[in-house]
Amino acid sequence: MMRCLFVFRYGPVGGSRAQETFDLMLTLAAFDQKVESLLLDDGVLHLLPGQQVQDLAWCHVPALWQELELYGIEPPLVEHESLLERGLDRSSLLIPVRVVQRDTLPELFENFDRLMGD
Amino acid sequence: MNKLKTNTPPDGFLKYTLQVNASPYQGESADLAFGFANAVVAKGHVLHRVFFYRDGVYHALGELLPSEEEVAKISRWSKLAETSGVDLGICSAAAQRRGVWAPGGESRLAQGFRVAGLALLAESIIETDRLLVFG
Repeated sequence: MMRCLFVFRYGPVGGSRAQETFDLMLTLAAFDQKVESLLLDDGVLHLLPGQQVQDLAWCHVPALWQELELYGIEPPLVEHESLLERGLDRSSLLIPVRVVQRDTLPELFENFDRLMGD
Repeated sequence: MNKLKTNTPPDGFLKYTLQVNASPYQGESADLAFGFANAVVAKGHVLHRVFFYRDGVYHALGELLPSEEEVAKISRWSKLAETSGVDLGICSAAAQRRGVWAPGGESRLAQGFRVAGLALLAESIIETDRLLVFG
């Protein structure tokens, strides 16, 4: 089984980036591969509750994150420092997440066969 | 006709898949991808597939006509496919979204490109030794 980590570094609006990254992520999950996600930098904004994105995004990104569990994908990893820099913490996010520290990322990446950006 | 080639690299060599997300005329990602593809072939590795996703699907527009002094950003991939046998796939959903392709519209595609689904990319990601994403 291939272990794939999708790293989201951009915000949820402004094009098809989020949707097309999700499409690939869910396709790999459908092929029974181990798929996980990591939110870094503006990527953490994906999980802000109360987004009114209908006119800005190609898809309803918060709904996609809420559906991950249905595909057997674990809750996203979220970088602590990215949250902190934006005045957020895990309790302000839409779904439960696994918070990781920046200095542990190199070690985390070693656990995956494939790293893909958004 | 593409040359028939074995898909299993000899000992000491690797099988590569490249995923190109960038359009041909924005930034240098597409140029880097092409340079890398050629290097893979030149070094004797197996270039299994180049999959064009997101804005990368614009590479398959057969009707793009750059002037002769410009780099041939589309036909150079067609030539690489012809000489190396590499499979050039584009994502059907991404292509439809951008008007690059519609069902039955294969004749509009540049030579050597074919329409496929994300399942093909997933299969490549699983089967190859190295995946490189450009753009």
